[in-house]
Amino acid sequence: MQRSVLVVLGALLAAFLALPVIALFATATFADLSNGLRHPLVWPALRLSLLTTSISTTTAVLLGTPLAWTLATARGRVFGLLETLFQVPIVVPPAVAGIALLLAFGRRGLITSALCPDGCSITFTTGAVVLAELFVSAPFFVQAATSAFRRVDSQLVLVAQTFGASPLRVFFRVAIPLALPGLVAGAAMSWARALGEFGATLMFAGNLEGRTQTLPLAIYTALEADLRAAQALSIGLVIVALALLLFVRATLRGSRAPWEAPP
Amino acid sequence: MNAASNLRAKFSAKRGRLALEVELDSDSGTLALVGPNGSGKTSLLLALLGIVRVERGRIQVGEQVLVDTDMGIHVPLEARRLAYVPQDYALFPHLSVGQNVAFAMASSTMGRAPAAPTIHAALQRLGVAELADRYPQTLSGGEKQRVALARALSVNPRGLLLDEPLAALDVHTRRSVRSFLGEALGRLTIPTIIVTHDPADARVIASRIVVLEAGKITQQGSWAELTTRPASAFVEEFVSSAPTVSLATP
Repeated sequence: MQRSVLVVLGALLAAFLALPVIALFATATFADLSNGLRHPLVWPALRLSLLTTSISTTTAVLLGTPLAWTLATARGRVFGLLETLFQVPIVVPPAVAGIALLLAFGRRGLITSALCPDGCSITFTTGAVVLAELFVSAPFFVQAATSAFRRVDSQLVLVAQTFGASPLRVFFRVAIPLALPGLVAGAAMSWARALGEFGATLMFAGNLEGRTQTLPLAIYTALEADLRAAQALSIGLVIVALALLLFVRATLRGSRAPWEAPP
Repeated sequence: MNAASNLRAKFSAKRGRLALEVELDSDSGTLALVGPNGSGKTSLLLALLGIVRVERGRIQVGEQVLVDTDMGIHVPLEARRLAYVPQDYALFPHLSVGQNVAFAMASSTMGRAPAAPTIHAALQRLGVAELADRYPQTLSGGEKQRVALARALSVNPRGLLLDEPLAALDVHTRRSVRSFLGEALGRLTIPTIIVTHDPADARVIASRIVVLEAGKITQQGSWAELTTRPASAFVEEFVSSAPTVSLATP
């Protein structure tokens, strides 16, 4: 009896979570969708999204992996504080991220006025899209990578050092292979976040077709004129996100192989 | 193999609330480091390795000075060439046995990969060459220890430090591994320090025993010396808790 109360309460939320996704797929015919996908906004936005998220995720991984290793192995209160600071972009609303990026890299921003006083700006360019995505998504990677590196047995690192292994050799040959499943999962999370980025991009990079209009912005634009096109784009994003989720789960399960397989 | 050398250390160091104040002189034989929990045994090993920083003093292996605070010498961990085998052996789980040895050898030679026969020979010394393609998770405790030892010795270290090498083994295997370890360490010509809780280890494996209590050395000598003149209550308890039957004197 008591248990069924809990089940009913849980089912309410489950239904609420499932309904919009079902609606997304159920309310359109195949013809609607194929027409929607022929909307002129679709392909430039898809191309731009794939391009910018590839660059931002690659940058997050290349620079975030050394950062995460440093955070995971360094001692002292300063590093703990830094780690918290790097997580701020995860909790602030994207609109705040947009304002912050404008104030740093905008026309009269902190960096911009120092680098080129005559006035130049990255805002409203594809580069701005990449910066916005990097800012909101890299912390997800750093957080996941840091905890993955923390799980690497410190004795293994110590023993490698006693053999004479250099810090770079320890990093590439011991730390990264052992943390790899966590790094892959973190990169996937980071990429998903970059793909979905909307608010900061809109404020910092604008909504220019072909230059700064990513998939989420195209959905927003299409919605004003053509619900079906917006729906087709949305379904595309859901499928991509689902594929990503399955990939991460498979990777995490695959982390036991090959060397942790039982004899 | 190096010519016989000794390890001389006289230093003070701090780790947490523990203050270490030690003077050691270990020849090429095996030295057992014993003492109650928290007496600083592992900290002493870490100080020799360079993880715990020596505040004042000197550490020397053979002719090589590793630490001399008066002269400002602190050789970094990577350059000390002291092999360390921790309690759980710390074999790299993502590398096969052969790759474990290859990684160690390449690390000691600036990344140059060792030839296959060299790896084979390093494993053969401890009788584990046939395990080369296995992964550490598939090995028994005794096999892991032999592999860890083979890997540690493959880099031609100046000294060998073992932290509780038998503690991870069940009672049954411990005896056979102990006699094997005693034999293997007996053949070495480098100073070897083994941290242990077990009086049987100290008696069978080591030629000399150093007793550490609350960061200070309270007694050092042979098993016989410890038995006849125990310097503290701990030593008296330690030597009398060793099983006297079925144990050959080394």
